[in-house]
Amino acid sequence: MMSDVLITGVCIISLLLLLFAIRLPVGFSLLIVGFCGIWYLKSYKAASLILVSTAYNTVSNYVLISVPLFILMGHLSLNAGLAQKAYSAGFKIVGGLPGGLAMASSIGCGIFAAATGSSAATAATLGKVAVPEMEKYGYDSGFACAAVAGGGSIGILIPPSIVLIIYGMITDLSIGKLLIAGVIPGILTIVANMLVSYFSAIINPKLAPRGPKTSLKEKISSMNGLWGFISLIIIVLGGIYAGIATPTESAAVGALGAFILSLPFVIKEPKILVESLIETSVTTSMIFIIIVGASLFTMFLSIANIPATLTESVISTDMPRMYTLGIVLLLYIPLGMFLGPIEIMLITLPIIFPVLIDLGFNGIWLGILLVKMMEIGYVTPPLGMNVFVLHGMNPQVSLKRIFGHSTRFIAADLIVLILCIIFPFLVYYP
Amino acid sequence: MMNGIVSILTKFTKMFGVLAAFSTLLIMIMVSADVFFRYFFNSPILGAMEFSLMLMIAVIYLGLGYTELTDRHIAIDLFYKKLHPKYQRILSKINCIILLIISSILFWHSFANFLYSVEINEIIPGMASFPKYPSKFCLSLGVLIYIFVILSKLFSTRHNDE
Repeated sequence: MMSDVLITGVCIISLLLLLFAIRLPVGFSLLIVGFCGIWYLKSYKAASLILVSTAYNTVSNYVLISVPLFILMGHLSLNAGLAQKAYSAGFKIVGGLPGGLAMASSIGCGIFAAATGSSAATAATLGKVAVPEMEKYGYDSGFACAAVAGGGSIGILIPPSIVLIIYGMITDLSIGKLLIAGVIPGILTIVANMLVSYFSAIINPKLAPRGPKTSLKEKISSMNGLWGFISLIIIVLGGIYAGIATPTESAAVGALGAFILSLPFVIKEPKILVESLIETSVTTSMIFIIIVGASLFTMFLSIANIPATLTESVISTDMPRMYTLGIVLLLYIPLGMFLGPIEIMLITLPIIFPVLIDLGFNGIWLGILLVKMMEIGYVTPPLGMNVFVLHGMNPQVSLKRIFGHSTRFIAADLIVLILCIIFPFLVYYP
Repeated sequence: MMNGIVSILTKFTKMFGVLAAFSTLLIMIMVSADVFFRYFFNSPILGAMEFSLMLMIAVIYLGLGYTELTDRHIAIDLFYKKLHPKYQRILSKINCIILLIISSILFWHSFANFLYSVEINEIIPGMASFPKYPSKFCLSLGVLIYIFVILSKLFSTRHNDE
């Protein structure tokens, strides 16, 4: 029995890797493997029936409507100049401290991530604003890029995280609780990144010199353009936290709020709205075809009895459960070198989640730990996506230099991860 | 002749891409209005949820072809990029054929499912008794547009990356 499952597992992984290697889209690769697997184990008729019902039912889910709405909120906020406003506020507030401009980029990334839910978008947008500014004040270019790459990675953790919404969908956990669980680890990550910038500048002042000092009045007035967005973020998260609005309702209100805030820009240039909508639709379509493929793939795995057999065999090994958790978390680093966070979750969770839940771990806590690992993957060599984004925007700064400076931000991330493991109450409140 | 057909299909795909994009705006308006009326007048909009679900299908499937046209579906090109352009072209054609097969199977069965839905007058469970067939039609139509895009890529002499 075990050997049959093992053979099936090896065949699936080989076929999936082959399809990925020939550059077939990830969603369709999963769809094909799932469809062929069910056809093989059951029949063509069963496979085609499940294919159509999965293509319809997976998408026809009211909770998942929050995904395009949060994406739209992000695009509209971007067009309303949120990145510039968030960075400029951080610049005025902490810019005068050692490493202050890098700290400002961490604050800017945090605020921007809270409106967009995407890591690469946060890094790319803040990179345009923050890196030239840091270079202007004599920052080491590699350090400046690494600060933005590290800061941008919190986009997938801080609410509204699209990755956590999808995690909630796969694991059937409360999406509202998951989004709220990301708040404290997200804030801790921002603080940890700011401390890294501060102490790096103290140790080596040439790396990140002080920026211009500003008066208290200037610091307060720098927040003027941000109150609208901060109120929006508070309304969206507050609604979910207080339980008065579902994530979908909060997302709709958030998107509407961002639409209102971007109106002055849209009136001036209506093309902005059309572009935001098209970008939202393309991103949604791209994410959901992977969700549909992964759902069919999961169905096949269940029919082949793979998750249940794996759970039994892991439990029978009597390995301490923290070791199993450690192995799973470490597995996410090499996976992050080839796949994005959504793809990793959709492919691995159907197999590993039942095992970890059977070992007695809390699902919400696990979600935050896994997302934290993927966040680290965004800045880890050789394929940290945010580092490539920053390198693409600043080709004169070598990848090696950015990765070199990223190690200190990776260390900060690891400390936050360990804190979340040791003190689970930072993530969820039973 | 072939270029003319491809050009018409491209325009058609872009049109549905824009339609999918505006469906997102409609979802935003519909859900926000529902929240507003529910919290301030204790009177939710009848059918708002069902209509939003239908629009969600439109956003995803009507945008599927446009996403392919703009080459935005997530794929791993780590190994592919290292190949000689000649082999990349061959692989692209093989991919098109594989995608054509799976999407044709999906189209065929989803269209049959749409016809069945019309026949039995299937409804979305909820207060408004909203019919299911419009969303099932969106699914089939979206997959059909996707097939057109794949076909135009298959017969196009221009390489995707060019």
